[in-house]
Order: sequence, then C-alpha cells, then structure tokens
Amino acid sequence: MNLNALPIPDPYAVLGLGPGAEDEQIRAAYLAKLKQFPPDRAPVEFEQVRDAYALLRDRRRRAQYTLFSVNPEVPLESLLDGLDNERRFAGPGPWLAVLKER
Amino acid sequence: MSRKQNKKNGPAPGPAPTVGGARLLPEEIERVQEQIAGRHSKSALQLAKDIYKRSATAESEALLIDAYKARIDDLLRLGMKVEAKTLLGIVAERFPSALPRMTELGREICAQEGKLEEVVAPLADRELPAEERERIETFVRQRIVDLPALGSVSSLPPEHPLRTAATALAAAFQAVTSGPVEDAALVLPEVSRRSPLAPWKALIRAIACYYRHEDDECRRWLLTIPDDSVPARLTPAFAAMLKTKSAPGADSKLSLAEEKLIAVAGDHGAALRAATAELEDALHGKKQKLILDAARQAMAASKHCGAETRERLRQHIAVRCGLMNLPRTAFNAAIGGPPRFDAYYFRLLARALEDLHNVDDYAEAAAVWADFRREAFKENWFASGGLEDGVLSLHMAELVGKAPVEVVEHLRKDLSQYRRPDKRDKMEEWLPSLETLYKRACEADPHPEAFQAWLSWARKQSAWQLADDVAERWRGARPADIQPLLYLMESAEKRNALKKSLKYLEEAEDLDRLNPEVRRAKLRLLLSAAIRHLQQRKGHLAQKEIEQIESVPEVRPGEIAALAATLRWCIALTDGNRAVQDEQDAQLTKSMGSVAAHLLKTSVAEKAEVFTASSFKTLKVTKLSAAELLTGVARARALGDWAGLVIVLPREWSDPLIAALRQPDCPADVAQLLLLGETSLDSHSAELAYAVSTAGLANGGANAEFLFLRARSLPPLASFRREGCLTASLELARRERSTELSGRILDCLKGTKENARKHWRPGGGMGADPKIASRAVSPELLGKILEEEQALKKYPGYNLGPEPMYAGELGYAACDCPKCRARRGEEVEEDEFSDEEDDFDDEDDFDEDEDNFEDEFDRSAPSPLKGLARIMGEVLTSMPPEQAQAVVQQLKKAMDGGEDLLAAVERIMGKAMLPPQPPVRPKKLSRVPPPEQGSLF
Repeated sequence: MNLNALPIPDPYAVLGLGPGAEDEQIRAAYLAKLKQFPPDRAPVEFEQVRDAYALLRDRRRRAQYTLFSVNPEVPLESLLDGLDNERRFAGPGPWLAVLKER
Repeated sequence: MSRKQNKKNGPAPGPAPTVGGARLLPEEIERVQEQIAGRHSKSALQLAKDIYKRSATAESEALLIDAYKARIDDLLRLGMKVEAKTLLGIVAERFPSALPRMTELGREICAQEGKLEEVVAPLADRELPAEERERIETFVRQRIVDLPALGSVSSLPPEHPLRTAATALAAAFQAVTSGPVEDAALVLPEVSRRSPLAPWKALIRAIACYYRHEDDECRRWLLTIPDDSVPARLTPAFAAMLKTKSAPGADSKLSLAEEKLIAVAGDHGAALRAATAELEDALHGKKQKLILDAARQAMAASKHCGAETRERLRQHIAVRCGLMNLPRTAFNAAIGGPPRFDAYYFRLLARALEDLHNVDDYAEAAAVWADFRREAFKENWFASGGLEDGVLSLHMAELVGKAPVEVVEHLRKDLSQYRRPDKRDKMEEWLPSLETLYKRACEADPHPEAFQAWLSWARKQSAWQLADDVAERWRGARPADIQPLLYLMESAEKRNALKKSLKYLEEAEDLDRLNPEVRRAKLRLLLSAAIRHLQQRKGHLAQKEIEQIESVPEVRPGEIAALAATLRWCIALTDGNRAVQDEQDAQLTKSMGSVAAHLLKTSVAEKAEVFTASSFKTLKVTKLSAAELLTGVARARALGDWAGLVIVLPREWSDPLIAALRQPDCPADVAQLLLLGETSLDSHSAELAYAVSTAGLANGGANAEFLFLRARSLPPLASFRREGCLTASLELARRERSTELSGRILDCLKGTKENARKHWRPGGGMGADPKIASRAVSPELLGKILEEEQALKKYPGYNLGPEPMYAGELGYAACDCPKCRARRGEEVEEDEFSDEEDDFDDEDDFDEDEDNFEDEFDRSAPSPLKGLARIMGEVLTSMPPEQAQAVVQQLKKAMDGGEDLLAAVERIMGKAMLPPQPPVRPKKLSRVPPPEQGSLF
C-alpha cells in the first residue's frame, strides 16, 4: 500500500464522523456534506468530501487507512489539539483568596 | 516561661540585671526588637513584659507597646481577630496613651470584622487633617480587600469618591474575572489616579489583558501597581501564569491559594505547547541530555492534561527516543516510566520502523505488527480473521518479503532467546512465516491483490506444487478470476502436461473468451504445442495447432498470419518441401519484412530444433537502411513477446545494428529502441544494448527505461556505473509513478536463483542490493548521473577507465588512483602513473611465483593463456587497487583448489574475458611404428 497516496486531511474529520463509523453512517454523512458544500459554491471542500468518501466507502481502503495512517513523526504539539488553549475564567473567588492572604 | 516555650521561641534570655528604674540596656532593647522583627511576637512580648516589670520606665513602656503591636498584628495575620481585639482592649485599658499608636491595628480589626464604616468614617469629615486622611487612605490601599463592602459603607455619603470607586471596581472585577469584557468597561472614570483604590484599576486592566493573551500589556499594568497595595499580592501568581521570571531574592514558593488560582485560571495549554516545541527542537538536535531534559519538562507540564493525552505523549516520546537509540532506562525515567504497551503503541512503533526505509528493519517492523495484532484483538480494534486482519497480514508479508532472509532468521533466534521459555513455541505468533501470513491474508480478505502477492512469492519457491496449490486456492475462493487459471495453464505447460493445460485454457475461455490475457495465453499454448510437435517431427499434428492459431484474434494485423506462415515454413523444412518453404517465406516476408521474417524463422526453427545453417539464406543486413533494420527487429520482438517466443539476434548483426543506431537518420521511436534493447540483452550482446541506451538517452525520452537498460548492459566490473544507473532509473520510475518499471527494477535487484549475484553476466540480474532500493536520491545526484551517462556514449569494454564522477555521491570513498585523481582535477605527480604499474609488483598478494605471472605463462603456457595473461595484465592495471587484489585473491583460491584457470577466469570475470581459442591443429603422424608392427621386426 502506498501510504504517501493517502489523502490529507483526515477523511473521518472531513465527513464529521468518528473512527468506528459503518457504511450507512458514512454514506449519510457524505450526502449531508454534499448539501453543505455543493461543487459550484465550495469546490475545495467538495473535493475533500468526495475524496474522503471515496476512501471510506471502500472497506479495504478504509481498513488500510485505519491501520497505517498513524504518523510517528507527527509534531508532538498536534497530540494536544484537544487541549483547552484558553485561559479559563474562574470568577472572582480564586483571585480574592490570594488577595486576602497577607 | 516554660522550657517547651523556650524551645519554640528561641533561647531563653539571660538573668535580668536588677536595675530598679534605671535605663534599659541596649542589648535588651535589641533583643526585643530582634524578636519582633523575626515575628516571634509572643516571646518579644514576654521579654518586654519582664523588662517593664523590673523597670517601669517610659522607655520600657514604649518597648512594651511595640511588642503588643507586633503581637496584635500577628494575631490578625493568623485571622485571630477576636484575640487581637481582646488584646487591643487590654492595651487600651492599661496604656491609654498608646492608643494613637494602635489606631492602624484598630482599623485592621474593624476591617477584618467587616466594620469598614468605622475605618473610613473619618473620611466624611472635610476638616480631617491631611495626615490622618493619608493614614486612612494608606490603610485602604494596603488593607481593604472587600470592595463591595467598601462601596456600601453607610458612614460615607453615596456620592463619596471612595464609595463610587469601590462600587465601580467591584463590578469591574467581577466582570473581568468571569468573562471577556469590552474596553469601555475598563475605563473606570470613577477611579482617579490619586485614589487609594487606583491599584485596583491597574489590576483589573492587567487581568483583562491576561485573558486576551496580551501578556506584554499585562506585565506593563502589573508594574504600575505599588508593592504595598492589596493588588500587589497577585504579582507572584501572575508571574507563574505568565511564565515571567521572579525578581531576585523573591520567594518563589507559592501558597495554596496561589496554586489553586494558577490551577483554575492558568494557561496550561500554552505551557505544555511550549514544552513540546522545545522537545521537538531537542529531538531534531539529537543531543541526548537536551532531549531527556526537554522530555522531563514536557511530561511535567502535562500534569494538568487528561490521563489519555499524557499517555499518548509518553508513547510518542518513547518511540522517537527508542529509534534514536537513546538508553531505554534513561528516557523511561525522563517520561515518568515506561509507556503503555497497547495496540496504539505497537502500531506507532511499527510505522516508525517502516519509515526508516531500511530493509534490515522491516523484519522487526513485522514482528512489532504481530504484537500490535495481539493487542488489537484484546482491545477489540478488530476481530481475528476479519478484513483488517487480512489487510494487516498482507502488509506484514510484504515487509517480511522485503527483509533479507538472514535478518529474518537472526530475528527469530533473538526472539526465541529473549522471550519467555514457556512461550518459545509461539514463534508463529511473534514473527509468522510468509506462508502463514499470506494464507491468513487470503483467508481473511480473499482479494486478487492478496492472492497475486501470495502466488508471486510461491512461484519463487523451489516446489512448483506450492504455487499450484495457491492458484487452486485462489480459484476456489474467487471462481470468476482469470489469473489463477492462466497461471495453472502455464504451470502445466511447463511440465509438459498439455492436456491439463488445455483444460485450464478451456475454463478460462468459458469465463472470459475476449479477455486479452486469455487470448494471449491460448496463442502461447498453441504455439508451444506446435513447436513441440515439430520437435517430434509430427508436422501433421502441428498443422492442427496452426489452424487453431489462425482462429485467435489479432492484436496487430498480419501477426497471426506471420506466425502461421513461420510454422508452415518449419514444417516444410522438416519435410524437405522447398516449394512450400519458398511460398511461406515469400508470404512471411511480405507481411513482416525481410528482417522480422528472418528472425522469426530463426527463432522458431531453433526452438523446434530444426535449424540448419544451410536452410537459411544469409540476410545481408549491411545493405538495409537503419529504419528497415530497427523496425524489423522491433516488429519481430513485439510478436515474440506476445506469442511467448524468444527472439535472438544473430551475432553478426550486432555491428550493423550499432552502426545503424549511430546514423543521424536513425529512427528514434522509443518503443522500438526499447524492444531492440531487450532483444540485445536476450542475445547477450552487451555492446549493442549499450548502443541502444546511448541512442535512447540522447533523445531524452524514457530516460528511466534506458538507464535500466544501460545498467544491465554494462560489463561486470563497472559496478559504480551500474549502481548509478540503477539508482537513477529507479528514482525516475518512482517519480513518474511507473509501477511496472519500478517493479522490474526491484525484481532485478532482488535477483533470482538463476541470476544470483555471484554469476555476473551482461543482461543478467544483479542479485540482492537493497541499498539501491531504499536510497534517497536528490535531484542534484539524479541530474549528475543522467548527464554523465549521456556523455559516456562509447561502450567501456574491459578498459574500464576511471570511476564515474558521481561515484562519490553514491557513498563510496573516492578512488585514490592517479587516473581518478587527475580526472577530478586533483594534483598528481607525473611519475605516479608509472609508479602505479610498478606497485603491482610490490603487492604482498603477488607471491614470488606470481611476480612473473606473465613470463611464467609465456614460457610454459599453451598459446591461449598467453593472450589471457596480456588481457589480465591490462585489466588489473586499470582497476582500483583493492578491486584488483580481490580478483587476484579469488583466482589464487581457485587455482589452489585445483580449478582450471580458464574456467576460473570465466566464472570470476565473465566469458568475454577469455581470449579467442586458436584452431586445433591435427596431430602429425609419428615415424615410430606402433608396437604391434614393431614386434614384427
């Protein structure tokens, strides 16, 4: 299998699916995305959706992607993508607790 | 004071002097002040009381009041406001004159009790002395935390600036700590610059900048906050959240409240991202200490992350450190322990090993994939025997197939040595054999790709039954596939099982009669059968096959008729029927041209073993045009490829063809040239194949193909150039995504039993050379190889000349011989060239007997060896010294082993090295009578 030929980005993310999606879910997501990104109005997104579906609808290619798509040289920072980057608002309480200390 | 208290509060003071109202000793005062400064207020108070008891002077009273103040202050710090108030009351009662000095403490107690009214009430008086106003405002600035309470004190009118400021600040503080705020909310016109609450305004703006990630602006606002104000208490926490270095001497330890604030409001994501970025830099720098330090910091910064994210981070770091060969114990310690060996980890490690693109690591990658498979089953990634299992097994088979056999065996030994003794029979689980992997892949995922891979592997094994078994399994799993039938047909034909072969052909035709592969296979089978009958001199049976051949649809017009005519010509040849021969010959020549006709007749006649030199009219190729010659050869080859017939060029055609290629009007059809090139190789005409590659490279099209051709046409000792041509050819094929050509080159590199590396021959396989397959080729190297090979138009022969200029970039040390150094433009002494020849006389490997190698042969050797000695001398002198030594050692070993010298030279250096043998002269009859006659006399 030519791993270099795998499409980027993640086809599951493009179709808004989780990793264990089945054939029916994939097709339904594909149709929904087609409505959202028609080729005349969003050609780039349309192509991504189409490529993602072409990969995931073929069970063999889907299995190959699931098994071999991991990139060991991926930047470590990308592992933190789900991490909250915001400085969280905690209300005045924790701030005042420090201020009350002499 | 009790002994326990002494221990707590420091050493007990010495016995007090009996002074009776006299001045206090300075050391006594100092002692008390030290205790106060050291926050030992309780012992300071006790000392001061003792002193006052002994001498109740104004001085001792002042000292006592200071001690009381310190004590009350400490009680307030500890939150013991009731005790502090009680003590203040006692002091006020006993020392009314001290009350003014206790005012601040009184205010502090009021503030802690929430009685801000009493604290700020004097501010309502416009006539309040400035000094007192300033003291109260200082108190507000240094002590007041409860802004809402301050904003609602009843002792001040609602419009009082302090109240309005406090109210506005309280609202702004609530807003800025709870969510994003607009700039308008931060203006706070109610708070003037001179207000004691001004530091709060700066704090609120600092907090707003913090949440907007405007860190520099945040730090600027923090710098404007006076150090003695309440908001300044947040400075250490801000420093931690902004990753600002603390001031020198500052206490870097954070309180619990500060840590809690940082935990809930701090930006852990940014800190962790910064740490991982540093780790990436360290990994690229490849310095062990820096990597381990950065890994340690990254894991420390990740402690606020979820457990899963931390584990992923640990696993990725472990894999990358492991592949850099860092000590396992060291990086495990840095990342807080070994990673979790789950399916994710093994998959990551396997892919990392593959990405090294080193065939020696492929076996290990396959073993790790086996570990992944085991864990994946446990974690329910997929089921055993499912599609994913099939895909994975096929992938593992590809890896094991690419790895050198000895590496796989070595790994198996290692695994059996290091795994638990009770599990050593589980080798098939740790590193399954290729047969197991292919079988598993095809059972789980019966896809043509999997079966084809299995069949390709099986065909290379010695037992034909193995491949046949695979093909039968394929048939069973996918009855509609043509490929297994075609293979079985071919296999049966090779074993002369014609009936079986025809049976498979019928089945294939039943499935898909129009399939080009089926038609081609039918043609080959019929042709093979006809030739076999010709060998058996059964022309009438061959005739039947010819009739069947004529029913096969043509790919190119006239080719079927040409084949039929060729076969009929052969039948007529065996029958001695000249008329039919001429008739068929004319028909053949008309349809294919004289060149192609001649080649077809020769090839079929040779294969049918009916060839005689007298049966052929010599074709004068020198009289033909270049176009006619090249087109004719290409046409014959194309038909031969299609029909499975090997077309061999007559030896005497090489020179005319080479001359034709050099002509300016030589047709430059790429397809024709490639066909001619392959035919040349099949005919063992390396020089012709080289000439074809020269013509092809000069035209600039299909460089990948022509470089591959050149690589196979170079003489055995031109190893650098061969490697360069293969490298460039493979790289070009990959870039052009020509999988067919890439596959051929890789197959050539792997070699087969027939063309193992030890037996070099022009056109033969190269044997296993995995470096070429996995070498990274830069555009510059590619350009250099192409440019230099295009310039080297002449066949090198055995006068090899210097190594190519690009040899150094292939990873070889530059040759140090004077010729190569001169070619590179380096300085060479004039006498070095003659010294080089003398050097061979001094070589240790040249024994005394071999010093006069050539003389020895000249004196005693028969004449063929005289030429050999001369050629050997020329070749050895032109080689790099280490190569020449290797050749001499091999020859010496062969002669020591009793091998014939000529045979040894042929084996080591190729048949072309041998000088032409002189004709055998008939023996002269002896004048001595034979013994039986002699006995008569």
